[in-house]
Amino acid sequence: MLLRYALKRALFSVPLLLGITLISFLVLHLAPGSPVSARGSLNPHISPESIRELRALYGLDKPLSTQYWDWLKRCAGFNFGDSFQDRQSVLSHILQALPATLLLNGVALLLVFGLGLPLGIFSAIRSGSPLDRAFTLSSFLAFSIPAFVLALFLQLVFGAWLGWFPISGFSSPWSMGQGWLAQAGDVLWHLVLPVWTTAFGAWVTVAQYMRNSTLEVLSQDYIRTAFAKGLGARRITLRHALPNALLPIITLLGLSVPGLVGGSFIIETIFAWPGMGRLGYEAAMNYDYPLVMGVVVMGAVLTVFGNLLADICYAVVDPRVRY
Amino acid sequence: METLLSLENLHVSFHTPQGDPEAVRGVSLELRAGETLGLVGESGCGKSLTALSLLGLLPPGATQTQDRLRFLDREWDRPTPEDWRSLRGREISIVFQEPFTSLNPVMRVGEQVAEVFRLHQGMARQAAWAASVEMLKKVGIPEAASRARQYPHQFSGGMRQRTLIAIALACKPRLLIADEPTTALDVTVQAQILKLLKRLKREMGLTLMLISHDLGLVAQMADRLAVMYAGEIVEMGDLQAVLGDPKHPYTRGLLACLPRLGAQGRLASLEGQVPEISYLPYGCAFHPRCAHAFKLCRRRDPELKEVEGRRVACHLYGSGE
Repeated sequence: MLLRYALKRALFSVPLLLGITLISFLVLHLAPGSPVSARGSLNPHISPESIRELRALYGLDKPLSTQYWDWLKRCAGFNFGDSFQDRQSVLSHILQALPATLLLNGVALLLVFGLGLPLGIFSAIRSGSPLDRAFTLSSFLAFSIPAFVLALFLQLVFGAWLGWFPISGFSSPWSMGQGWLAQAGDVLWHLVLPVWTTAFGAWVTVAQYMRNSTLEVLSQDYIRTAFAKGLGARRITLRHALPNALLPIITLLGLSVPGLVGGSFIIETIFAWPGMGRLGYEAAMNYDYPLVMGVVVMGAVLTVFGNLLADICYAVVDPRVRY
Repeated sequence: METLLSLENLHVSFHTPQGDPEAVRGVSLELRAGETLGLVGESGCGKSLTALSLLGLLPPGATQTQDRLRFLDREWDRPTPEDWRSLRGREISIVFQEPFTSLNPVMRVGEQVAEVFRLHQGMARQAAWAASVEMLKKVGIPEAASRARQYPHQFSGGMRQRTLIAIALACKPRLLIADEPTTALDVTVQAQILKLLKRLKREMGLTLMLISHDLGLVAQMADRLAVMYAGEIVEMGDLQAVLGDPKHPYTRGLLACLPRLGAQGRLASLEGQVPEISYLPYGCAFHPRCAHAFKLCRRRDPELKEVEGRRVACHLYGSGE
C-alpha cells in the first residue's frame, strides 16, 4: 500500500524533473556568452576557423533541440558528459565536491534541528516568560541578517581580529601527512565559521516553527483531555503534544534535504569551501554547460526526493493521511 | 444522603490588563452521593468554569478561590498540583462537549484508554490494554478488540464520545462531570449517549453532574437542578419542585422557552442578552431583563435564601430587611 503510494509519487515526479532540466538548459544557453566566447573572443589572434572547430568540438553547432535531446539520452545512461574545462567526467567532479558539502551541511543540519527543536519546545512551554520574549525578539534580529553579511562579519572578528579560526578553506597545508586525528581536527577547525553561518538563520527558523507548532498543539482539546486524566505535564508534553507538534516539522526536514547535498553558492564561495555550491558557481562562471547541468539535475532530483520523502514520512507517522 | 462534595463560595476571575473580571461569583453547591445534579444556564454563565474548577482545570489566565472544597471527607481548600493530579481521572472525571477534538489524533484509541489504567492503577502495558478493550466494550463500542487499534478519525462522533466516557470512567471515579456531553452530536446519537450515561451511573454507583444549556435534556436525567446566571446560582432545588413551581424570574423565563408539542403561537424567548462579565449591571445581574424588577434589584445583589424547600436568589421573596 505504502510502496504503491511511493512509486506513484515517484512516477509523477518524472515530468517535473524533465521540465526543470528543460528550463535550466534553455536559460543556460540563452544567457549571453558561450564557452567559445569565454576562451576565444578575448584572444585577437584566434581565427574564425578555430572558433568553428571549437563549437563543433563542444557540439554547440547543432540545433538547441538536438543538443538537449543528446544530453537527455546520455543522462538516461547516467552519463552526464565531461567538463568543458578539463575533460574530466561531470560525475567525478560531483563526487569530488560532494563529501565537503555533505560534511558542512550535515553538521549544520544536526545543529539546527538538535538545538532548534528543544529550544522551540521550551520556549512554547514557557511562553510569555522573559526567556521566551527574549528569544522571539532575538530571533527576528537573527533572521534579518543575510548569510553573506554574517559570513564576512565572522571572518573579520573571529578570523582576522581574534585569529581563532581560519578564514577559509577546507584544511591547512601543514596537516598533510599528519595523523588522521590531527587532520580531522584541522578540518573541524576550518568547519566552525562556515557551519555557524549555515546554521544560524535556519536554527532560528526551526526553533520559531517548533515554538508555534507546540503552542498550537498545547491549546488543543485533547491536551485538556490528557490533563483531565491526571497525567503529569512532562508526560503530556512528550507523549501527547510532541508527536503532534513534530508533524509540520517533517516538511521542514524534507525541504532541508536538497540543501544538505546541493550546498550554498554564497557560503561555499565566501569560505572557499570545496563543495557542490562552489563547483556550480565556478562552472557557471566558466560556461561549463555539462557541469552546470549536472549540478542542476542533482539539485532538482534531491528537491523532488526530499519532498517525496517528507510525504512518505507523513503517511507513516500521521494515521489521518490517506494514500 | 451522604454528601460527596461540597463547595463554598467559589470565585473564578480572569486576569486582564484592564482588571480581573469575575466569571464565577460566589457559587456554593453540594453533591450528594449517587444523585444527578443538573447545572443549567445560557452559554457564558460560568457553568463550565464551575465544573473545571472542581478539577483544577481552568484555562491559563483564570484563577479560582474557594472558601471550602470538601470531597470524600477531606478538605481540599488549597489543592496543590499533585492534589489535583491525584483526583483527576481517579476520583473526579469529566467528559467534554467536543468529542471530535478531544482525542489525540495520532494515538490509538485503545492506548488513550489504557493510559489511565497504567497511570492510576499501575497496570503493565498488556493488562492495561486488555482492561481498555473491556472498558470500550462496556461503553458499547462494537468489536472493541479491533476498534481499539484504530485512530480517532476512524470513529464517528458518537463513538468518540463513548471513548471519552470510557476514559473518564476507567478508574471508577466517584464523581463524573458531563459538560454538554451531547451538544455536538446528532439527536438520535444524543439519546443513545444519555441512555449510556444513565446505565453506567446505575451500574457504577456514580454521582453525576450534568451541565447543559438544554433544560429539557437535564429534566430527563437530574434529581436536583441548579440554575446559573451571570456567574451565580439563582435557583437550586429538587427537580420536580423547581420545574413544577419555578420561583426565580429567570428560571420561569427558561421554562417558558421550552418548546411543547402541540403548542400554538410563537415560541417564547428571553429578551436581552447575558451581560458581559466586565460590565455586570449593579445590583441583581438579571434586573435589566427582569419584568418584576424594582428599586432594590438595582441596588443590591440578592443572596441565595431558603424559599419553599429550595434556594432562590431574588428580592421578590423577602428582601431580608
